[in-house]
Amino acid sequence: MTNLMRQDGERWTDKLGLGRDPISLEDTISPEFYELELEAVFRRSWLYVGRVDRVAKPGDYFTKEFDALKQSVLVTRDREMGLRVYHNVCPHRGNKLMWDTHADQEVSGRCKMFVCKFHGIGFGTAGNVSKLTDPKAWLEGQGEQMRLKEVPFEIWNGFIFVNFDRRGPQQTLREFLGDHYWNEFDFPYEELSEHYSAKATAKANWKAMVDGFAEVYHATTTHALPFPSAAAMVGAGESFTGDYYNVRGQHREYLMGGYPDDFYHFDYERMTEAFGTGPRHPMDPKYRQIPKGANPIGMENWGNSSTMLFPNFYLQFYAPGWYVTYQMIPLAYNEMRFEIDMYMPPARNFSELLSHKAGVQMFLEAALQDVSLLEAQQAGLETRAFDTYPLTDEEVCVRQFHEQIYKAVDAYVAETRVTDLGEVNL
Amino acid sequence: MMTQGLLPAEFFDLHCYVGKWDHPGTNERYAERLSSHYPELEEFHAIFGARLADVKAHLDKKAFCDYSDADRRLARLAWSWVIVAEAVEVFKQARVPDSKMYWDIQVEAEI
Repeated sequence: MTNLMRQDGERWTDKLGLGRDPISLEDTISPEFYELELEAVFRRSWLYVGRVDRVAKPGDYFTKEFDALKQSVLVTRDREMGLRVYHNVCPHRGNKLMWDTHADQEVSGRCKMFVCKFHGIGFGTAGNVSKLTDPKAWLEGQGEQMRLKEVPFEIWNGFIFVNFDRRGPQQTLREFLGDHYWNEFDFPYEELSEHYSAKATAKANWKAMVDGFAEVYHATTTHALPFPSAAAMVGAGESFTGDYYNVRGQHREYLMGGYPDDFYHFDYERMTEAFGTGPRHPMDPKYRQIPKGANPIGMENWGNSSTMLFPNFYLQFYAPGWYVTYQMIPLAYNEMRFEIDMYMPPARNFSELLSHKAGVQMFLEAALQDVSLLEAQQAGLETRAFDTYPLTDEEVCVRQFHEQIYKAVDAYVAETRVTDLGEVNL
Repeated sequence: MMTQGLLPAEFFDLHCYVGKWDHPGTNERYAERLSSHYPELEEFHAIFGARLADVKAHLDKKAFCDYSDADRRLARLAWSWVIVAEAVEVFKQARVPDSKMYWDIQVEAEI
């Protein structure tokens, strides 16, 4: 894990034009700031919904909850029109359209029409009324004219993003991401169709988890047990860091070198060909050729690449060639839901499936160590024992992220001159 | 529980673990790990681990669609073994240290 920049003697913090001052984390503990942030950041950003592969066939559908924004979307595929994204709301009396048992939980499946549980009105995948309960009861024409309301969406390499800006999207997704991310992330994502998904909630602000995954300075402590060699490096006076960091507009990225393919810490890792960084059985070499955007310096022995898109979406690639997405979803100023989705090439035999499931297990247990710290993090911050917090050079992505959050909220406050949510210590 | 036929014949010695470690998904397997006494984890880790190479050799011979119920059950024991091995080799305890929750696994590959 060499640090190319530090070999040259220059700090990443300086190279990337970020200040060196300790940062305020008031944005993580202020309920007032949280309310502003929902409007300034989440309403005005493109937000990840899911992959197109989930709706590969006409009639496939899934719902996605954006709890804090009080939004629910229904993603489906129409035979003629292709991918569609609607508000998951019946236009008749506003009941949620697709749900099961618990109205706040997401559902998925395949059907020919979406039927509202309230009055039985059915809507086709094109958004039109396909079944009107007791048509004679309706005032002339009003029933048939109902349509599901569309949500603005765009697709980037099969990743679906939506936009809830009350004014309509003020930027295209391409403008929001920037040309580097828009153009440089071609990869056969759809071929990595073996999918694993997990969720967890924690009593912590969503940004605490964004920060937790934005640096590896914590790894030698938090993950000392599953990664003893990393802990040993620091114990021997070496640094455990990424090899490359960069910031691009609101977004940021880092890249780390990898362990040798035959390196394992534990017997069960070697026996299953898996590691805390996921499965390691030999995969098709083409999957090792991750997008140029994920490896801008062309590092040959890359181990993992992290692309962090504002505000709350991560895309990471792990050697020998699989990928994972994270979303840190706000539920309240001090509560969040963390969603992990892991994708790998379909296992061709038991040994490969064992490597995949073992790698997923090891990865999730290491990630659980990160999640487990969050509530203590939130509690500590809320004591307000400190006003500001110093950051290491390796934590540049944490620094830039909070800078962008404050910038977005400041701009919103200046633009809207919001004054009725109380004083916010910015 | 009738033990005959639960697992492929050459793994008869592992039948005694089926009742405790055959579960349909990771959520259930992790719950079993948390509810176990640590010596139970050590025993399963050692005994099944000693046969893992044989398990891989047996199950690698067939396509997934040709697996018998006994083959699938053997695979499920292997998934449990991975979860147990993490506890025994990495954490030396059943629970991930400092964790009060576990993941809610939504989607995972099973045979």
